[in-house]
Order: sequence, then C-alpha cells, then structure tokens
Amino acid sequence: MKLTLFTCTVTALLSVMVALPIGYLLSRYDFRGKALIDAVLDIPIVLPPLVVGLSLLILFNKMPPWEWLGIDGPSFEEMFGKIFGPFMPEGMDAGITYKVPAVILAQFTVAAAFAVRTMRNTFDQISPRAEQVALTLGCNRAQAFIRVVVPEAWRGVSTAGTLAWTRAMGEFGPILVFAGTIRGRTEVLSSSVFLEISIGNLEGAVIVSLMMVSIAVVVLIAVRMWGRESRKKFVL
Amino acid sequence: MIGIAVMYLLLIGGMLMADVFYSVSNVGWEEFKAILADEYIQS
Repeated sequence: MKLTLFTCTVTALLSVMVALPIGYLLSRYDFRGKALIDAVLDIPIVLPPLVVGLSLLILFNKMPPWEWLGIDGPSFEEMFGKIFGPFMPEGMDAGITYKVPAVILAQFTVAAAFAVRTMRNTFDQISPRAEQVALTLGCNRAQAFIRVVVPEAWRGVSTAGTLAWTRAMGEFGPILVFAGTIRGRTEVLSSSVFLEISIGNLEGAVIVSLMMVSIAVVVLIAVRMWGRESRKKFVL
Repeated sequence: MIGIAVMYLLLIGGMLMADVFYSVSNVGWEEFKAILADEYIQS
C-alpha cells in the first residue's frame, strides 16, 4: 500500500511536469513534426501493456544504444547505477529493472500519455487572448506561461494529475514485465491481486480489489465535484 | 520541465526503436517468418 501510494504520487507529479510543456506546445504552436509527436504520444495508450513493459525492459537492460553505433559503452541501467549509486543508502544498489524505479517508470510511461491528452484539451479550451495581453504588457513567454496560463489551467492540471495517479494505480502489465512482482519489493496493489490469485487466495485478492475500487471511486467523485464547481464558476 | 518532457519523448521513441532493433539484430528474417507462420498465423 505504501509503495503504491509513493509510486503513484511520484508518477502523477512527473506526468504533470511532462504534460504541461508538451500539452501547451501541441495546443498553441504549429511546427514541422507536430503530427509525428502527436502520434508518438498516443503509442503508450494504444500499445498492449505487456509490450510496453517488454520494450522498456529491452531499452534499459538489453539494448545499450552504443551497440547500434558500434561503440562499447554502458547500458542505461549501468549509467543509472553509476550516477545514483553513490547517493543510495548502504545495502541498496541503484538499479532500475526489477526495482522500485522500474515500477515508477512503467507507470509513468502510460500515465503521462493520458496526462498530456488532458492538458492539451485544457489548453485548447483556454483562449490565448489573456497571455497575448500579458505579452503586450511586458511579460516574456515564460512569465506569461507561469503567471497567466498555468493559473488559468490549474483545474486541468489537477485533473491531469488525478488521472495520471489513478491510471498509475491500475497499471499492471508493464510492471509485471519490467519490475516483476516481487513480494515486499516491487509489489503494488495491482500486482498484489495477481499474486493472491496465483496462490489461490481469492479472499485476499477480493479485499485488495475492493480497496482499489474504493480508491478509484473516491478519486472519480472528487474530480467530478471539482469539475462541477469550476463549471458553476465559469457560468457565473 | 522541458528537459523531462524531452526525455519522455525520447523514452517512447527509444522504447520503440529498442524493440525493433532488438528483434532485427537477434531474430533473422527467415526465423521471424517461420515463428510467425508456425506459431501464430496457423493457430
């Protein structure tokens, strides 16, 4: 439960950080390659979850990019270990595959795609007029974005974060392949259900499922109420 | 923020490229066709 809350929160924060600039870019600017980026962002949504996990596993573990270039270099996993290894507590190694970072990465890959879609729709609905006025009053692009656009899009940001959080909680396929379902180490709620079923403990699986259903319902109701309040304010 | 966004795009692109390159470099075309025909198309 603790690991689930931790990984989902980190995933949601990272997803919002990715969704804000990409959503804004896709909504406000026309540039060459926009259709390609748009299509690439949909890939984690349309790919089968197990394929996402397998691709991540190959990318981080088996496929150092140097190999294609004919250079003998470390894999992403080894690079990660070299960079973060000295900062890890004693007795813990800084790996990715089959460890907690893999859980976050697997959740983030899919959840961020949903957050980007939500943020893009939010920016599409916000008129660019206010930021144009801010630009004429002396703000530069970054200031206009932070002081005008982000406050206007705040409800969209919270919706994107909530969606990413709930999507991360329900993620299972990529975690199974990329992080494994190791009891007490990379076990999140969704993988607990799988583990309980695999040992024939249906009661345990049902209880964990019920917990997930409850969390999902609470979050959905909260988001709906938030949305209704914002609509009322908009009408007034 | 922009850095993380760029890294996310690279992650998705890299994921796909890794899948394709790993398949190409580890499974020959003939083997690929044979596995596909024997295991999946006929079943």
